[in-house]
Amino acid sequence: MNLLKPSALAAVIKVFLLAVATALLVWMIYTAVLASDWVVAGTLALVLIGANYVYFSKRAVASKFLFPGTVLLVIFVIVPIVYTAWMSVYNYKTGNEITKDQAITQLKQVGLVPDPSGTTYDMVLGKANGKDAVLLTNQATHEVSLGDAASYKILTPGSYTTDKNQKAISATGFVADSPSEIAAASSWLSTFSVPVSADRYVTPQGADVAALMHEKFQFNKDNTQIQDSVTGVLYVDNGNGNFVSKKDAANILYPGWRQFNPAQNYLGLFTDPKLSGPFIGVFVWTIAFAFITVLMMWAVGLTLAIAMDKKIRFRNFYRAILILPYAMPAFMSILIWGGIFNGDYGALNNLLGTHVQWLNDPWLARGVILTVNLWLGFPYFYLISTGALQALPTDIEEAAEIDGASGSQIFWRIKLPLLFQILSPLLIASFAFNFNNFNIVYLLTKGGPTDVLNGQTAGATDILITYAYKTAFGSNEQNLGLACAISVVMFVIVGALSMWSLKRSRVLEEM
Amino acid sequence: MKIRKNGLAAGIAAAATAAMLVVGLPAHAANPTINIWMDDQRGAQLSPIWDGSTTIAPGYTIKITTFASRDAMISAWDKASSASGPDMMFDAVSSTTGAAKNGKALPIVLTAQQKAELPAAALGAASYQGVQYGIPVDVDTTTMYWNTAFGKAPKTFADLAATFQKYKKAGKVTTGICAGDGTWGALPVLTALGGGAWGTKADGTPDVSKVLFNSPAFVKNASKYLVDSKGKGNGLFAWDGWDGCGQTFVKGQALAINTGSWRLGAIIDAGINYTLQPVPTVDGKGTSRQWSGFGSVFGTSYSKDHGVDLGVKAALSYFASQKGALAYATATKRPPVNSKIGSHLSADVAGFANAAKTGAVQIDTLLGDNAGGANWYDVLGSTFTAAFTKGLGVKASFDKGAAILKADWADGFPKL
Repeated sequence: MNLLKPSALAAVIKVFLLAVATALLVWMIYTAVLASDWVVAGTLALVLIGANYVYFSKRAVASKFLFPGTVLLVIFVIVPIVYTAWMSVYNYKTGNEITKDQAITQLKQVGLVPDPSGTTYDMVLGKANGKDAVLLTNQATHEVSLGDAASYKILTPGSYTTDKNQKAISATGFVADSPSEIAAASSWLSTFSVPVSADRYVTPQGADVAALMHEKFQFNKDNTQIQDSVTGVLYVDNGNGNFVSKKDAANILYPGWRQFNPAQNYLGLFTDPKLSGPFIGVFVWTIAFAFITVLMMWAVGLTLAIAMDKKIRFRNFYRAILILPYAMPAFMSILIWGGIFNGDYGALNNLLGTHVQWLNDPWLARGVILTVNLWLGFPYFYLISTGALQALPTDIEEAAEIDGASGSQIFWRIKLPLLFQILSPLLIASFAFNFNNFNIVYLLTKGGPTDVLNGQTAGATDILITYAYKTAFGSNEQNLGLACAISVVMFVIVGALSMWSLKRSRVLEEM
Repeated sequence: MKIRKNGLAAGIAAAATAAMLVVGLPAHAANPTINIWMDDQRGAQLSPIWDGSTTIAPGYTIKITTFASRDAMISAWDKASSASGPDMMFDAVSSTTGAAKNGKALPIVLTAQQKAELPAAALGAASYQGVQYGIPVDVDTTTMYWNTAFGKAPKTFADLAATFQKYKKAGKVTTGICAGDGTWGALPVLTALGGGAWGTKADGTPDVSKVLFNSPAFVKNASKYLVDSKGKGNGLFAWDGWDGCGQTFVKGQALAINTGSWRLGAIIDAGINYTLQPVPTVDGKGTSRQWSGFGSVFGTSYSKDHGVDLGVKAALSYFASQKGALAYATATKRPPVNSKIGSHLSADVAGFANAAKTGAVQIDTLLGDNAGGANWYDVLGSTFTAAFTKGLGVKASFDKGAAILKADWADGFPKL
């Protein structure tokens, strides 16, 4: 009956939870091993050992509390950051996603094309001389041949028997596979081919049909060059993840591979005119957007906080109203505002009797973004400003009044500097938040308008995060490496701001 | 014998773990499994007939995995690894280029019979750099729904324009014809007015040296019918898709919408009475063209890793066969690509198949290329905005757009 004691019950719960966690982790390790994902399997194994050690050990008391958070921090924060930084130094984009070995394997497969004669065969699987072999009947000429992985031999009539469709079903020295052997044949058949000549092979296209294939791409020994035997074009490894024609760099073979090229994406951001133009424009607008939006939200929030600081009728009601935009899901508000500003069907144009294309003009669209973001953000600044105002020591204000300072002098020279000091970490945090404010831009304008006809590739309201998203996922042609590089630049900027913010906070703590 | 408390606990945990694993670890199936991914619509229609099948690819068991939407499936496809990836996929042929470039699609060889039964243009849309990757199985296309509250459908574009002006003046409509699927659905209006995308050679292949986008006939007709006295769009043509002008149509404030069968239910639910026909041409002769995309089934390079690529090729042969095509068309009610099964189709499927005959083959390797600075869809949006919203001139705007498209196609054509 000791099990019913709280300590015993806790032990049972602990063992149960650990058993569940261990089973889950073992399952995940098993899956990772099946997928040959050794890094993941190893990491999970470490977590498994760590968890069991920490929770069965009497010594690791502090770790019992820190372990889950640390593991989650590593998995969901540190690993993505490291992986993003790692991928930013690769030529990693559509057409260059797999490894070089995988790309070469795929190119060898792609380069094995149907022979111009279009020859196809009925095929019977079996054994000849103890080796896997196939009995082939040319579907057009009914010529019968026997082949294995090393040889091909045309059989003479009389050395084989056929069915009513003239398909060979048995031959001297050939033993056909049983149905169970045929079912198991996929293990060897998918890599099997019969060499007919130096560059021609019969390859299975199913369990009972094969085709004569021609080796169009001929690789050199170290897989650095490919000769196209049909067109005569020589493709060479360009050192950047592709085989390209030696004579025409625009003639590229796909798939390519992910090539380590540490400077390419970062240098490209500043030196490639196709990238640097949009990037610099987007960067400037991102800074301006984040700065102006924070300034506006704080100005409106503080003004309202000061107004509500006075004892007026229905003050609580007004306060509740002011918080409403904050209480509503932001994406709904943004979509509603998008409808209001629609140039063709929007409520604003209907009310004004105008036909202004609010979201099609670059400057108007930027104004709309700032306006809508002000609507969404001022309640937060109103709340924090109200709190800060109430936290200000009243004796300073009283002392200033005694010294004869006017109301406006007290506000501008005493209250505002104090408020700024209190709120500056929050202002910086808000700047960092808006620096990455994907929702407002993407849901309202999708980063547009983009003057495609005049060569623009980034929209007028694109900020770095939306630009990175579009670069990575915005079209069929994705440039994930470049998007990672942009993300790293953003991370550095936001990280620096956060560090500064933390430093400011410490200063406040010391006051 | 004294057993330490922690050792006992660890022993219990190990036993519990082992028990859970015994219960949870998957048993190995007797037949190799071919895992086919598809979107929720096809999944609901095809799972009942093909999930668990051992006859499509003898010696293999078919397992169908359905995703909540096409977007979810593509997202999973992007993230798939060798272990988690599918062996086959049903998707639009527009996936071909990306899958081929990324080495995720399995090259296949077509038999002479398959080549004879499947249109060359459809097969071409599922190939890349001359290699066949997919078997096209259905046609996605659009037609014009005319709201019969405004009388009979016009025979010429001039009639359409006149009807629009009449009802606009009366305050009953704000839009003439809506491209209900955004710029993708705008081609019928372009072709009705003498424009379009690329030219076509005698053998039916694209002639990308011929850019119809800014043809003199189109510029003349667009300036005449689509632009008002101030040089801006007069409302006859809108291209902002289902959420924009599509809603105007279902409110009864647009004469017509060009869209596919996928909007049929919403239009009927809105109480709109309609007739179906192509967008009329300027003189009523010939026919406008709309994009015809194809749904396709692909083998994946993962299937080779899983050792089932031969089974996948057998399954692909089944889908290319008349038997497989008919089973697919019957289950999905989508117009089939296979030209030999027309007489076996139900009336509604045959109706959509007929509509597909006036389609222009949607060649995504050309339409999606952005070597000129932007792809077809973005160029159209910007050109329409410049010409009809900002009033920057039809000729000037379409000339700029055509220059971009020409560069796109020059880059994309060699990859076909």
